[in-house]
Amino acid sequence: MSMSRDEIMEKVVEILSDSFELDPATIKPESTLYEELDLDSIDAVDIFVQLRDLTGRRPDPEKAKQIRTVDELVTFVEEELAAAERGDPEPETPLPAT
Amino acid sequence: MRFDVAVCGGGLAGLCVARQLHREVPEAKVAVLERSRRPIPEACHKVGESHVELSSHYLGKILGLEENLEARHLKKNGLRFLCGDSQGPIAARPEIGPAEFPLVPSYQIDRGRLESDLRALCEQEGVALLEGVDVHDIELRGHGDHLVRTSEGEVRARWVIDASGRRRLLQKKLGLRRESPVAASAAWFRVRDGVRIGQLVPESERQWHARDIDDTRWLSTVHLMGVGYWVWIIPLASGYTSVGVVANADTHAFRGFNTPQRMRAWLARHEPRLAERLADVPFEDFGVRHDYSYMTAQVLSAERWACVGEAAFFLDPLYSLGNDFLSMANSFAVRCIGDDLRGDLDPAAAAELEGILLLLAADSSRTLSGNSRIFGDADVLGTKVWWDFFNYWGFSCRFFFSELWREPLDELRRFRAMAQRWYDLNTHAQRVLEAWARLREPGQAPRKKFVAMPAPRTVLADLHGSLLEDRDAEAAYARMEADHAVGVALVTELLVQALLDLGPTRAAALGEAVGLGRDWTLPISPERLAAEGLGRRERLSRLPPVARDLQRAVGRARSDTALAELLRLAEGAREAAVMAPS
Ligand SMILES: Cc1cc2nc3c(=O)[nH]c(=O)nc-3n(C[C@H](O)[C@H](O)[C@H](O)COP(=O)(O)OP(=O)(O)OC[C@H]3O[C@@H](n4cnc5c(N)ncnc54)[C@H](O)[C@@H]3O)c2cc1C
Repeated sequence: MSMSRDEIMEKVVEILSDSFELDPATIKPESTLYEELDLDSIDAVDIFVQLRDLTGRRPDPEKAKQIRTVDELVTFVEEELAAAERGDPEPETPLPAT
Repeated sequence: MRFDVAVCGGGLAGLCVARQLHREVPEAKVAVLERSRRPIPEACHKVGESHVELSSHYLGKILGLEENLEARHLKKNGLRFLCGDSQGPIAARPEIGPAEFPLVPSYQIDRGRLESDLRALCEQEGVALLEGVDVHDIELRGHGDHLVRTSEGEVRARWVIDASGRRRLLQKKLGLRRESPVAASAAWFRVRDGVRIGQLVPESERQWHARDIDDTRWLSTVHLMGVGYWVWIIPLASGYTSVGVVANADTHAFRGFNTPQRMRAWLARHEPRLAERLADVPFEDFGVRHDYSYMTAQVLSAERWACVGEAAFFLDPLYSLGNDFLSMANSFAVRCIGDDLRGDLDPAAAAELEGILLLLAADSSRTLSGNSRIFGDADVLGTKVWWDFFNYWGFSCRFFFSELWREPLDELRRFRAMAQRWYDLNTHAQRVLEAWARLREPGQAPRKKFVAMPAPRTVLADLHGSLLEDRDAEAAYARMEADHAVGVALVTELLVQALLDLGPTRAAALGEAVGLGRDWTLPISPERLAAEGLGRRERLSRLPPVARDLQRAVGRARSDTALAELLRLAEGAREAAVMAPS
């Protein structure tokens, strides 16, 4: 399933604006998730649950934790899609643990 | 012939109760009197295939059948609901169901296979399994043994358990039948193919398929939902698939689907994607049940008799609770028989156990009736399932998993009072849900495409997982108490969401329907309402965690205009709540 960076960005903006009452216009690649967009760790869980639908993979919590900006989130999805394409195994303790 | 216990009917209920007696009251001499003889067909035998947490715990742990279940049946991926427009593509229908394979086990059971295995096990364990015996009559006697008259002669027994299914020997004889609020009929069949929901969705729907990371969606009991009806798709280990239509009398005539031919036409009209998949597939073992629901006045008596399984009552298959009630009735009866044979049966304890069972039945009949509109409304249904699972896991499952029916009388009394509090809460919840769906503008775009049930890292997921932790009676009570308090906040949130969603004019009608300002007794905190006017972060910091979790899962209603009306309604409600005795 290949998607261009722009398509991924569009999806990410859609997820963020639909889930967190954000104006899509305010979501820029450089926007920081926890400061500028004012999200918290519970929101982060919900983001990654939704991204699974896009990537078909459970994310690695260590990698997920590093993400600070929308742009990094897009890169993360890109890498996950590539990993899915290659058939890489999932992380041993993936997000989200129940 | 004389036994300590004569079990009349050796279907699932009768065979399970015999096995449980063997395990828990090994000194009892038990006979099972069953009309049919082996062999019985594996897959095409009976409905009642979908087992949920409580009945799975019963079979696996209480009856020690875990290995058999794992080897001979399918582990199930929870209950899954596909709502919305049935005429369009399946992938466009809002989906409610587990995102991850549930940790608390449940199973899809081939009834014939399980009942064959149970018959063999019972025989090995020394139960007198008398096949080809037709029970004609049960004569209950106040003193001395009861008398069971059969096609093969008389059997005397200290205890009689009626497990005759719909034959309901004792219910009919004693005039115990009571009406149920559910008015619905069902028809079902099996197909030799593995019919999987994923086959109804083209490969090109990448995202819909990607959501199912491990390819386990098909292991769910899939419910296709529409106004006044639902269709089940249950996979079976034998390779068969069970399909059934359940439809409410207020919206669907039974004669519309009560023969194989009419069923095909009905499916083509209401569930065309499934009908297309089944087009050339023969229906096997077609069965129907007109107006299937009935209640009872009594299930358990210190006069040494009990009714279990469908011989007791049957409400509705929506959440697969039939075998849960079977599990509870069996367990409660076995406890009483054990007490009796050891010489210390307290009639008051039997009465408490029966009280708890009938209260839970009444609770479920609230949950399972009046749902025609809700079935057609993905947003309300998602909210309902959230609450219904909370209620189910919070009380019924906790009670059963902690084996509280074994407790002494004073503990049983305490838990019955707790059951009553959960019942009251559920009554409030169901009033809101029913009225909300009724008053809502139909055909609104659903808020969510996928509602994870339970969503990860929520109060609900935590409650579910907690069922796997051991708890003694004291700790179980404390947890029920704490969860009940969360439940109060949750039901209040249901009301707030419904009011906001309906907007000012209809909110007043909702308030009227649920008894705001009259008998609505849950407190509505002014802080909760005031929070609606705030920005997101500020608002979230003031919501109870369960309210936020509900919104995360099913979405949030937004209607700024309704806020003033809501505050006014709530003011009246609060005054009433203060006045009403709790
Ligand atoms: C449409 C529908 C769908 C359902 N789906 C589910 C579900 O998905 N999950 C769930 O948990 N529950 C479900 N149920 C309920 C479930 O079917 C019952 O809980 C369960 O099958 C009851 O088992 P039982 O042993 O009481 O009855 P049965 O399995 O019918 O057993 C009764 C036994 O008694 C014997 N018998 C009857 N009369 C006599 C006599 N006079 N003498 C000797 N023997 C006699 C019969 O031969 C039979 O073996 C459903 C019910 C319906 C109507």
